[in-house]
Amino acid sequence: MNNGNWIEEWAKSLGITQPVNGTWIQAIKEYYGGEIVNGTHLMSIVDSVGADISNGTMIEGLMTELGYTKNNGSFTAGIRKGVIEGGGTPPTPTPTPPSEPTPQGLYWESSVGTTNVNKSPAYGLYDYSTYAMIVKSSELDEGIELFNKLQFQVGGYTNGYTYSDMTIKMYHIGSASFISTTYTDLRNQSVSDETTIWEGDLTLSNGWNEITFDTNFEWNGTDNIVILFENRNGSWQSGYGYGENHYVSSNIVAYTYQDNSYPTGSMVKYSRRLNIKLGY
Amino acid sequence: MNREELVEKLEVYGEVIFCDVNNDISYVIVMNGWTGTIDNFVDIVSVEVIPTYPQTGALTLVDGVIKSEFDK
Repeated sequence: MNNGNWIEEWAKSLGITQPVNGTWIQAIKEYYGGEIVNGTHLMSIVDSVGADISNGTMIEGLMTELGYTKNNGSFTAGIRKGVIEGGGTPPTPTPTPPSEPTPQGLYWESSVGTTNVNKSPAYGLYDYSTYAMIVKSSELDEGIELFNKLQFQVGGYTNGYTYSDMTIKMYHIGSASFISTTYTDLRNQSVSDETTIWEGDLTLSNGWNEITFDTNFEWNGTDNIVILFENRNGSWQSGYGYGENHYVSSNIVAYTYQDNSYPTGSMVKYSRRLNIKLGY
Repeated sequence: MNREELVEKLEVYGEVIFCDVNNDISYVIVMNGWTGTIDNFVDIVSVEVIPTYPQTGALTLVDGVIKSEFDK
């Protein structure tokens, strides 16, 4: 190691093989671009990379901006450590990550209808049931980024009625309706970003019920979304009720139900949808 | 509707698991070991249930098990 020329080591670590006009600092200045500032190459580098030198020396501000750290209290030793001991590659500044979307404490609300539909969001007469509904992107509010809660409206349930082993999922879907044959796993639909938003035993009360997601769903702002209820209770129980529904359009909902095992076949399509509110 | 009379008619064909009001709008009948046809079942409920609960919400017969819901 050449202890007498840390600037040359810095230049070579950038891939510069020759000095310019006999100086390595000018070669580094040309590497970073920009014009000569105040007659010094070092100052022009400071200017080119936008280093803040207001709280220390020029070399300290510059090295901090370029991502070097001190070694034994010295930036030049830090450069050497990064360049020589780090295998010849200078440290790369860590980019600032984009900010993560956060819930805003607001709700998008569907239309509210009064049609009683016993299959939504699950059908208690059978051991297993599936209920899937689409929310069109054209219905959703501007500014929604992250869904974190779901409310839905039911009636007719015996107090404390519970669907054990319920799984609720969300997806993006390109289509605004269920197309062709619609299977319970949505395998032939244009879905993506499958997310299990909630799992557990779902105890219902008549009126509005709210679920806070275990895993939030980030909306891409473009596609429609699917909310899928998988009722894997495994037995039926009387005292079940119905979901309150509103008309949307053909094939906006798909459902099925059966005894003895979870259904894997095709679902019945329907034009009315459970009244819901989505927290975001 | 006369529940006792309905149960007597159903028991000719199998075991009555549930035969009662389910909630404010629905009546549910669940049978096990049904030995008749689905038409036998429909004939019974048409007389005993349909006048009060005219809409059939569900009616399936799988492996001798009848699940049925009738709604107001």
